Amino acid sequence: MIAAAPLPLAHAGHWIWVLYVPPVAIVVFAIARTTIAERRKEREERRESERRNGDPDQSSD
Amino acid sequence: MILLPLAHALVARQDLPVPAWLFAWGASIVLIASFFALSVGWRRPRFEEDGWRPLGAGVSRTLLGVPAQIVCGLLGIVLLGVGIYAGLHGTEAPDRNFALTFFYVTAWLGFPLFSVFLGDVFKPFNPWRAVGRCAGAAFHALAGQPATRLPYPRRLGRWPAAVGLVAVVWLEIIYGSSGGVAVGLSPHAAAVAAIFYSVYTLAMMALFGTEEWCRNGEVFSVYFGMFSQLGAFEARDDRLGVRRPLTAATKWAAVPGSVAVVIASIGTTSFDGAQEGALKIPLLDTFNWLADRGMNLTWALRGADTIFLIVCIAGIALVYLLGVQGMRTVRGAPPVATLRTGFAHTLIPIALAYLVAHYFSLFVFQEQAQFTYLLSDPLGTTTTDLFGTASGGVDYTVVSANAIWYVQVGALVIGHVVGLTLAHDRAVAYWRDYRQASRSQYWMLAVMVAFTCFGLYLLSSGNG
Repeated sequence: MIAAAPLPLAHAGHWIWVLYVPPVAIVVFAIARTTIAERRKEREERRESERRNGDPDQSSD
Repeated sequence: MILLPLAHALVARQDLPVPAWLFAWGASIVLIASFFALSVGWRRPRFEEDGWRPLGAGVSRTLLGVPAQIVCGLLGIVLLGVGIYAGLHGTEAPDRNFALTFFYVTAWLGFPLFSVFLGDVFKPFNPWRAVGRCAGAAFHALAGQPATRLPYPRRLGRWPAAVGLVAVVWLEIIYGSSGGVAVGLSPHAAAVAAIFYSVYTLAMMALFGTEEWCRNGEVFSVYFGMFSQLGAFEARDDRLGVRRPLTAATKWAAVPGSVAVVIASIGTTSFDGAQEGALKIPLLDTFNWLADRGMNLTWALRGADTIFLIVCIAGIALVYLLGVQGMRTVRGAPPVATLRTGFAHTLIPIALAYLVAHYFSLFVFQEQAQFTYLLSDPLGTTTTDLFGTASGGVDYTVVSANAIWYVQVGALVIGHVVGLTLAHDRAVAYWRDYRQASRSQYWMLAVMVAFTCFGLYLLSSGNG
């Protein structure tokens, strides 16, 4: 059984593609994070403007 | 086993100062820096108007006049004829026969490069167009009226060219297998394919008209014409003129099927690069799986290759469409269909970059053969020496392995930066607010980084 077990390091060359993934992963992660942050900001701004429009005391300030 | 001149592994292992994968990281940093520079400094579209202006009338008369058209058309017909004759009657050794190198290196790789710098140079040399125009003129003279043509279906657009492009590459890199071994396409098969293609093309020209078919369905006209959109030269109404480089590309993809053409171009090149490296093991596994199920060995190999060719094209399409879907999420975005066609031209420089990166060494080495012994002894029978160069050979030291690698990396980086620039320009045209435009381009940045890293991985795995 030991002889039949795969030895991943013997095929390290097959895993070289992993080194090409980080730039793509970093960019995709940064996009996802920025998009979520921008959407949250837009939502808060919309909520704030709705709150101001709905509150006559604040809208008159 | 027959020598494989068209197997694209004419590159030696490099002796690089840093590991190959670090180039992918560096290229990605260049793209990210370019993205920020564009976001800050590029706030209005600059490529939507081409600013075409005619050159002197004398230049146009010389280069586009009837004598030049006749000479170029005849040259195209003669070269196609020599290629077919050499394929049918010459040696079956692919590296000694004029046909394969002429069809698949000199023409297939040379015209895209020349088209970028000189405009649509294939158009005057297109042998089928020359024959179609002559036949049309002869019919007009005899019948006293132009031939009646069927209206070309608009919805079909460039789809015939996209399918034909895949077929041409399939023939080159997949069909040429025998008994489960990839032996390369034989000159005879290439010549027979050229005859079939000529008959098919002339029939389509008779049905739809020569120029109409060249604009939409003729594989080589559409494929080489796509690259000419990046260049500065263009002929309009028999006048040669100059325009701002890259501007013509912005209108190219409006015809249906154009997205498929450019994606097929990148996908087929990717497959060709991957089959001897990244996809070697999966291809072997699939081949064994098909062979174990009783499939003939030749067709098991062709089947495995075909499956992965389709996977490569589908993968490229998927990455592009994900980028389009990402752009759609940005406020004020046009419909998906508009985005899909509106940004397709940004892939043209990438298609060119992939072409240069994957075939640069092949082109440099095989063109030495083309212009020495293949030109003097087109049949490869060693009995002729037309130009006294039959004893010439290929100097494999003319460019070093490192120089090849740097050209490949440079082509990929420049191609993707140009693609990113075209995408940003289109975005500021679609989104009047440049901040929203920049936001939409996050997604194209991801597409470009993905294509760059993928391209460099294919090169490094193929070279290793």
